[in-house]
This record gives sequence, structure tokens and C-alpha cells, in this order.
Amino acid sequence: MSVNDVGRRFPTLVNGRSVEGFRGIGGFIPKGRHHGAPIKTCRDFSSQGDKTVESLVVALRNAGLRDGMRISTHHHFRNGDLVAEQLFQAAEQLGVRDLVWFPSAVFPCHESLLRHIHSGLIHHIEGSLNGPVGEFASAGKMPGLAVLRSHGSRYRAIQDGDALIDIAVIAAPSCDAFGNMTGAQGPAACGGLGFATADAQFADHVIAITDHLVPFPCAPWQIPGNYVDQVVVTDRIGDPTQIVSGTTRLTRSPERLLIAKKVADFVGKTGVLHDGWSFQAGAGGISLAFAVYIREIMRERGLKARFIRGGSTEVLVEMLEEGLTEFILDGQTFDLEGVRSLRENPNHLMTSPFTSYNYHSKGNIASMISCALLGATEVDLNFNANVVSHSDGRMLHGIGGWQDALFSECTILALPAFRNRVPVVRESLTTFCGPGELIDVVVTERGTAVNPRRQDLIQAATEAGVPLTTLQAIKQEVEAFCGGPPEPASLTGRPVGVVTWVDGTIIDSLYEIP
Amino acid sequence: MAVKSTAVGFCGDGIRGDCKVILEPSNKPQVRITSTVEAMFGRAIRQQVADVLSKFGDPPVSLTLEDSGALPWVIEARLEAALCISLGQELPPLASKSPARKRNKKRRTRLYVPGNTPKFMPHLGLFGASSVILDLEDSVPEREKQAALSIVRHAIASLDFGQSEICVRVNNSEEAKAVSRAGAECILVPKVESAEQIKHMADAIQSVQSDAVMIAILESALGVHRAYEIATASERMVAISLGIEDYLTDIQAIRTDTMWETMFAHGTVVNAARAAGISPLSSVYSHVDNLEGMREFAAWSRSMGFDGVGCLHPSQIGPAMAAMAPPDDAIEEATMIVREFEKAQTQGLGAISVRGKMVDAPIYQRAKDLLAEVN
Repeated sequence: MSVNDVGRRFPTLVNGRSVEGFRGIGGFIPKGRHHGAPIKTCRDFSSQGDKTVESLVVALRNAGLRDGMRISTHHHFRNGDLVAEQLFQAAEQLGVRDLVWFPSAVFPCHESLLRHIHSGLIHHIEGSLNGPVGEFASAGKMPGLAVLRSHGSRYRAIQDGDALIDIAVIAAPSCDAFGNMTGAQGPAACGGLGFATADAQFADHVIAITDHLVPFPCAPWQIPGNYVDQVVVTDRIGDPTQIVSGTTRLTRSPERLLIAKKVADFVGKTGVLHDGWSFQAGAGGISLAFAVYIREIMRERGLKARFIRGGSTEVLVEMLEEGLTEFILDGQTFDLEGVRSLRENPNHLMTSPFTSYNYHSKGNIASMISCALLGATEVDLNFNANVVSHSDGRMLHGIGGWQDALFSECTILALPAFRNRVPVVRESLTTFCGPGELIDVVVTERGTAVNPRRQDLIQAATEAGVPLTTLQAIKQEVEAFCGGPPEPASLTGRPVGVVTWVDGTIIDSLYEIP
Repeated sequence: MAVKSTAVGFCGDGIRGDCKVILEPSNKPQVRITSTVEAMFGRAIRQQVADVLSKFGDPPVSLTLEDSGALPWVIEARLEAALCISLGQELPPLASKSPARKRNKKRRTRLYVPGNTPKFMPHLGLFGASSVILDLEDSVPEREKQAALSIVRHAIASLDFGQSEICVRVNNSEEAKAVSRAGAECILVPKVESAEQIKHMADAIQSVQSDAVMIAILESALGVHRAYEIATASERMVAISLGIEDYLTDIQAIRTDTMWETMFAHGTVVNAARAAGISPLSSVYSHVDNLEGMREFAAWSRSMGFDGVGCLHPSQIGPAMAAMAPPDDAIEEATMIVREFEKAQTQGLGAISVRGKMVDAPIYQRAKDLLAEVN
């Protein structure tokens, strides 16, 4: 174990690869060249463009599946994914062992795959873990280390060659025999396929799997078939009821509505909101309510956004159609209205982690967004935050785009001041995920605290009469009725995972929790 | 000592900020505790349970605490309620942390919250309601009354309700005594039909040396008929309100969107309250998702002469407050009237003209009242 620049311990060898510790924002300078996929030629493929094979088993055999390979899948079907299950059933039939599953995210529906870890088919899962799979890994039952990467960092890891993918299996809601694919059409339409773009470009072998084969061309395609080796047709790839929700309802939770209102008030009065601004908000209760409130303020004041960065939802689509924003730059699509809009509206654009979040690229849209609204499980008095673990140290969430979005011009963490007796403002974080230098404002139902680094925002808030408090004051108030600060998590077990920073360095570790 | 088996409180899926205490008679006392926050607060919870059991003389019970992240005051209330029910004792006295505050502001919005649902309570002071009402009556099933009383007492004694007046809707005078002692500032008396009921309740509050004031809720033909007697039954009376659904059932009216069937009762309550020099309060608006409806109802209530409305969800407070606030031009005019009239007084004048209208003492007073409300 070594210690990084924020005082966190980390294993220097992660699943056989040596890693470096976090050196502060911008402290790590990468060298070398991007990873390259093997060169292939069109003479190896049907001149008629037919790449279909009869089953996933055949496709995996053709791809040369063998022990220890790294196989990737993607989470654009969220909790409705049926592909990972089929993939590992097929792999099982080929009698291989010790595969590394490299998903872009896991969901509770993947609990059934744990049996393959017990059997030795899967050696470990290299990705953000949560839900039942996170419990499993935190209990120390998974060989190998979980490697938690943000969406942008996963793209970076693939492009830099940190994570080499032997076989990528991409679920395609609509696909032609050449492998051109889109997520905007078909019975399992999910919106954009952005999370699979790195895998398509950099994997040694790419398999598209679809339940909706259309005649060439599948248009407009989101991923071109030129990256695709084989196409497999199967009965079902996703459960539409779990992929997108029909409607995204506004939360009724009074304190969440209050937090969202405070954020909208802050943003509206401190100049963060201005004509031509941009913001990012997801589909969580507070984010959605914030979008509703800020829409009202924008309407009243006649202000428009140049773009909104989604997680697209019905509310954002309504803003696009009403002219309150000129564009939606969509990272993933959360509801049916989002899917429809992505399909129909030329100003609703699919983005990938490369075009929106990649730190090792020539510029980063994440830092061009006026305001990003995010959550967290813990914040310390220096505005550093945790998003991946419970306060008892167990894995809770993936990082998602959280670390990437911290780079916005005004990053706001909106969170309840305590959850189930556990205060959110902590003396020390259970897991360090994001540096406070990038976190400008923390809004709770009990008040708004601005990072002292942002004197401009403090001055703007004071002039506008927005009441401010401090993290220290929130901490004291909440600890008074929660019965003091919680006992710190016991982080003495062996490491079961690492949290990477956007540049690939290790910012903290996760430990076995008895 | 006869010990009864009992279970108090709630835990498990979908429950937050609460716990369940199960007590069984046992010659070998034992304690079993599970908690969703075991790693962070397990030690503190075990200590708290031991302390409460010792306060009750370590009775011969087996105690199971299933905790879903309850705050310490909730655990205390649940343990106390379970032990008192099990041992057949009265709830132990609980003193208030601060004396009741005197209030001058109008009760524009009063926010109801069910008395046996502690998870809502820590936030109640954050929404800017004029009053919060911890309800022991209709929102609490009969079998949970004692558990709810324990929760409400501890909530009052432990939590910060901000600028909101702390009110409790009670079932009887025993509850009124218990919550007044704990620091309730206002007692809501439901289903009032006579002055005697109010006097009886006032005596109960007096017996525990509380300054708590009272609001009567009229919910029947007889209650509305006696509105003035009720409004003047005690010095503690500060307002009367209407329980409109029960009232309409009692007079055998049919509910319509026009609200014509409610006009007599609404008008009577306003008139009786004003005649008695206290405040008339309109009923609750029950369509919590219809904020425009709330706004209209509040504006209508204000135009009828009511000082305030009841809310069932915090999101109703903003629209209700906005609908009842004086319009900007009225504020501007009142500001000018007060300034000009006070200037005239220093010159010994009793009546002046502002913007071509005569202003005398009553008009000056109304302007001052209006400004007092918005500032």
C-alpha cells in the first residue's frame, strides 16, 4: 500500500497492473500514445455486408474466447439489461474460466451473475459496483479488485490502454447486418449508445447483439458497423419497462423539493443563471425538481439556455420544444419522451463520454457547462466529497459522470443534511472521490454553504440577499439531533476496490467490511 | 407487577427515521437490537436502551428494538411508550426546553403532520408555515394514540420548529396537559359544540401552568350554531376554524365545486370570530398536487375574511402565502399613509389627506397592521 497526495492509502498493483496515486488536479501528465485496435481489412468480411452469425456462442467462439479474457458490456438498458446474462450463459457453454467482466455500470438486475464468480467463470468485475453486487464485493467475496471509474475515466482507460478489451458485446436496439446500430429505434429503444463508443473503437473484437435487425442501412446510426466484427440476433436484449420509465414524476418529498428550490434560488440570484447559460441535471428527485423550478425562473425572466446537458428527461425535452434551450447534449436517456426527442429532434444530440467528459482529450465540454447539479453521500469541511460508499464503507453507487461533471463553472452538491440519522457533513470522508477545489456550493435543506475559494459567488449571494451558512454550522446543527458524529467506518480490512480519478490515478480505496 | 406484551412504532422496508420496540414479559430480561445504522450508531443505541430500561427500574421484559435510522428522540419516545403500555404506567413527565412564545402574527398557514410519523418532524420548521400542527386526532388510528402522544411530546421538547408556532390537535384534556407541559404553544380542540368543552380544556391547560392558547374547530351544525359562545368561552381562545367535511355530512349537504353549500358555515365562522375579537381560520385544501387550486382557495378564503388556511403538504405553503399577501400597491399605499399620518401627528393633526383620500386613526391603524404583516 502507498499513500497519495490527499493522504489516502492505495494498493500500487491493481489486478496485476501497476498504478499511481492521485497527485492533485492536473498533477499527472500522461505520456505515450493511445491504444490501438488491431488492423483488420474488409476482405475478411462479407462483401455483401452480412456479418450475422447464428448465436452468441458461435460469435464468442469465432472471436477466440479463452480463459482470462476481458469482456465488456454497457448499461444503456440500466436495470432492464438482458444481455450480460445471455453473454455469460454462452461463455459458460464454451467452458472458459477467469473472465474479467468490464461493464460500464452494474445494476441490481445483475445479481444473478454472481453465481458465475462462485463457479470461476468470472474472476472479477472491473467497474463501479453497487446494489447486491457492491455488497458482494464489499464483503470480500470477489477475487480481484473492483476498479471504480467515472464515465469519462472509463473512456480514458480504454483509449489510454489501461483497460484492454478483448471482446466488446454491444446491445443494439436497432441494427443492420453490417453492424450499423442505434438506440433510438426498436422495441428496446433506450436513447443513445454513447457508453459503448469507446469499446467499439478500441476493443480487439466487437459483437453487436440485437432483437431488431433492420435492412441496411440502419439510419441514422449512432455507431457505424465498420467497427463491428459480428452481429447476433436474439429474442430479447432488454426489458423496456426497466430501461426507461414512462413518466418521470416529480418527487413529493418536502425536504427534497425545498433543497431543489434553494438551488434554483441560488442559481437564479447569483448570476450563475444568465442568458445563453448551460446546465447539467440528472433524473434524481432533486435534479428533476430543480429543472422544474429553474424552468419557471427562466420563463419569468425570459432567459434561454444555449444547451442543457442530460441525462435527458421529459422536463428537459419540454424545455427544448418550448425554446428555453437550443440544444440537449444527451449522455443517457432516462424516459420515453427523451427517446422520442433524441429520435425526432435534430437539436437533441447524443454525446459519448469522449465528446462530453474525457479528461485526456483536446478540451472537455464538462468544464464549459455553467452549472452542474450533483449529489453525494458525504462532504467534509473542505468541500471534498464521497459519492461511492455508505458511511459504513460499503460500496453504494458507481461514480457515473460525477467526477467528470465536477469541472463545471459552478458545481453544486444538493443533498439532505442527514439520511436516516447519518449526517452528511463529516470531519473525514469514508471514501475520497472528488476534491473540494472543484466543488463550489453545497445546498442542504438547512442552508447553503459556498466554498471560500469562490469569493465571487459569496459576494454575489450576499448582494442578492441569499442567506448563506457554513458546512461547520450545518454539521453542528445536524449532529445535535442525530446524537453526535457517527463512528468512523472501520477501514482496516484488505482493499476490495480502488477509486480512480479522471486521469487514471488512484484517489482512494474501498475496504472489506465484515 | 403484570407485564403486557406490546409493540410500538414502525421499521423495515419503506420506513425511514423510525424504529419498532417489541416487549415481552420475561424472567430473564434480554435485549436484542438491529439497526440500519449499526456501524455508525450501534454503540450509542445500546447505551440509550440500557439507560431507558434503568430509568424504568430494569423491568422483567425481553426487549427487541428494530431500528430504521430513528433519531435519538424517536428511540426515546418509542421505548417510553412501549414500556408505559407494557407496565401499565403513565408517560413520565417531560419538561419543555423553553417557555411558550407570544405570537402577534396572523396564522396564515398551518401545516398538519400526522402525530405518529416522526420522519417528517425534524424538517417542519424549515418551510415557513405560521403554525405546525402535530395531529393526534384523525390522522392517528385508535390503537396508536399512546405511541403518537409519546412521539409528539418528544418532538416538541427536542426539535427546533423555527419561526413556526407549535400546535397540537388533541383528542382529550389529558393529551392537552401532556403536550402543554412539553411546550406546545397552541392546542387545537376538534369537534367543539359547546363553551363548556373549551372551559374544560382551558382548565386542563391551566392546571399544568402553561400559557398555551387555543383554537376550536367547529365540525357540526350545533358547533357552527354556537360559534360566538365558543369563540368567547375562554381568554385562551385565539381562533376558530371549520372542519368542513364533517360539517357538510352533519347538515346533509352535497359537496359541489361552487362551494355554495359551505357559505353559511364559512360566513358564520368569520362573523363570530370577528365579533369575539379573535381570528377566523379557513379549512385545509386537500388536493395537495393542485397548487393552483390551493392558491385560488387561499385567495377566496382571504376575500371571505379568513386570516389563514390549513395545509397538508409543505408545498402548499408558498402558494397560500402568496395568495394571501397584500398586493404591492396596497403595501406602497400603506407605507405612504403611515409616513404621512405620523408626520401629521407630530404637527398635532388628527386627520390628513393622502392621494386625495382622507386618512384618520382607523385607516392609519389598518395600514400599520398591513405593514406589520409583511415585515
